[in-house]
Amino acid sequence: MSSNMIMLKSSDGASFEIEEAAARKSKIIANMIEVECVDEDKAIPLQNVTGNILALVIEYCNKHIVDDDDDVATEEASEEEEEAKKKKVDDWEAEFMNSMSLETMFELLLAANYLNIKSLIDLVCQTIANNIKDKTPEEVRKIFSIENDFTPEEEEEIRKENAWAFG
Amino acid sequence: MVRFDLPWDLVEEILYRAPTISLGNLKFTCKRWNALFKDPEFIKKNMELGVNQNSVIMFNNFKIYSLSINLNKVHNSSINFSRSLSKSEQVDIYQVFHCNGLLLCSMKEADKPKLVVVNPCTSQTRWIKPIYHMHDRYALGYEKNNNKSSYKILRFWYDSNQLEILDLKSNSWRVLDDTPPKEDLCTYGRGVSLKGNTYWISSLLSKFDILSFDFTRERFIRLPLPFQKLPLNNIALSVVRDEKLLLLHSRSYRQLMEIWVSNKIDDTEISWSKSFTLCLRGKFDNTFLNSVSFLIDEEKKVVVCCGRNGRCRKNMIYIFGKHGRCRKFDYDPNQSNSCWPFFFSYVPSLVRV
Repeated sequence: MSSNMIMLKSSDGASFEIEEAAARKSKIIANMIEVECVDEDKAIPLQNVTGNILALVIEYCNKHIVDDDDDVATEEASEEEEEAKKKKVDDWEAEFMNSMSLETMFELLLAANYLNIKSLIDLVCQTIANNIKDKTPEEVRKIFSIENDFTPEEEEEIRKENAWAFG
Repeated sequence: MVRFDLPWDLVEEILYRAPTISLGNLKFTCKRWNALFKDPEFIKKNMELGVNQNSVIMFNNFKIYSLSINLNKVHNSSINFSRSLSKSEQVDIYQVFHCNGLLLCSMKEADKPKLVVVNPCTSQTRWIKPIYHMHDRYALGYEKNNNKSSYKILRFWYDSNQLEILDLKSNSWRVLDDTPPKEDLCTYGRGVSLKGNTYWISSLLSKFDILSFDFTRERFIRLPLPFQKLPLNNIALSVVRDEKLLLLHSRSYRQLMEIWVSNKIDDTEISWSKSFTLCLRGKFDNTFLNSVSFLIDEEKKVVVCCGRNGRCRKNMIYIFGKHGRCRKFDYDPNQSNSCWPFFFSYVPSLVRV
């Protein structure tokens, strides 16, 4: 495993050291490393990510870089082992997301989007989706800062159309 | 609470993953969300990414319910009528046919017979006209054509062997060209829908096989059962995940219940393999009258049956497990004598008609 370390700097000035292999989970950073020849002594500035969120991103990347390496090393792993490993990752991800407020999830999603980390975007979106599924429209509007643009008549109309729903 | 405005593409990414059943409620959030849930591209994505739990819909006493069945352990199992399809509380429904998340309901409202296709997940309804007789039988299916499904309804006349078909695009009935003789269409029990086509158990001159209607070519085909002998006692069809046909065959004199599963079905062929056999050990005190509906948990080797018990003449749900385990639910004190219950597994879908 490559032990090249690189530095990342958050928008509020905090610095983090991370293995290059883990940082490459971000397509943006991978691109910077390849195209812009990152200076080993200089931290990569990430304007849109605060320190507390960057710490979460790094925790996620560190966890998943190990998994990726495992995939290569154990190509012939049995189906059961594969399943057990997947369950371990799922459990870790559930625990990781479980500790987070909705607000943090939104920040993490924006960071994952900015850094272009596909699997983290998927994970956060799935968690938010599970989170809002049983909420009232009123609560959902609050969470997404959305104005209710239905007139009472329009809302009534949709409720009428909804006559054939389970409820 | 949250001060962040997410870009629209991220909002979409979240909503793709929302359980389909929750979108009925989420559409009240704002106009943009309401419109999004009708977009074919969104529907496709949600089908792919949304976490959808299989649920069960039950037809009982002329009403439609959503049913939850807890199968953790047979002796601890439970059933729960969680929600009723609200409109169905106000009308009497006589028949329900399920296809791909859509329900075709034949019903009576203010003494008038009506026929409607409902998507209980989106609440979309499509009224079908005209209807001739309350006891006409219907099947809903779809034509498979370049990824686009166009829905059709097949109608068996109550007192004639003429068959009619309605294409939902045109909304007009036409007589089916190629109608087999009436005795060929003698079906036993309810039809089930798999990948757009309908399958029935058929008994022709005491010989049982499967009758299928292909909604794409608009013709009937016959397919063999995995056994040749006349089935005694209960025989029924069901579907698992819109992928495979299931066949239940119980022979109470041998106290056995067999579950068969189809491996491959095409125009001329069907191959079966036995999924599992349960020993009933006298727990099944009598057979169901006429048709039984059933669901299985293949992993746990559990069969859930619903129907009218032939001995006590009651609507019952039975849960059968390994080693003769059985749980009976006499679930309905106010059951009607004229409405026999059945249930089917249902995956919520956003499909529009």
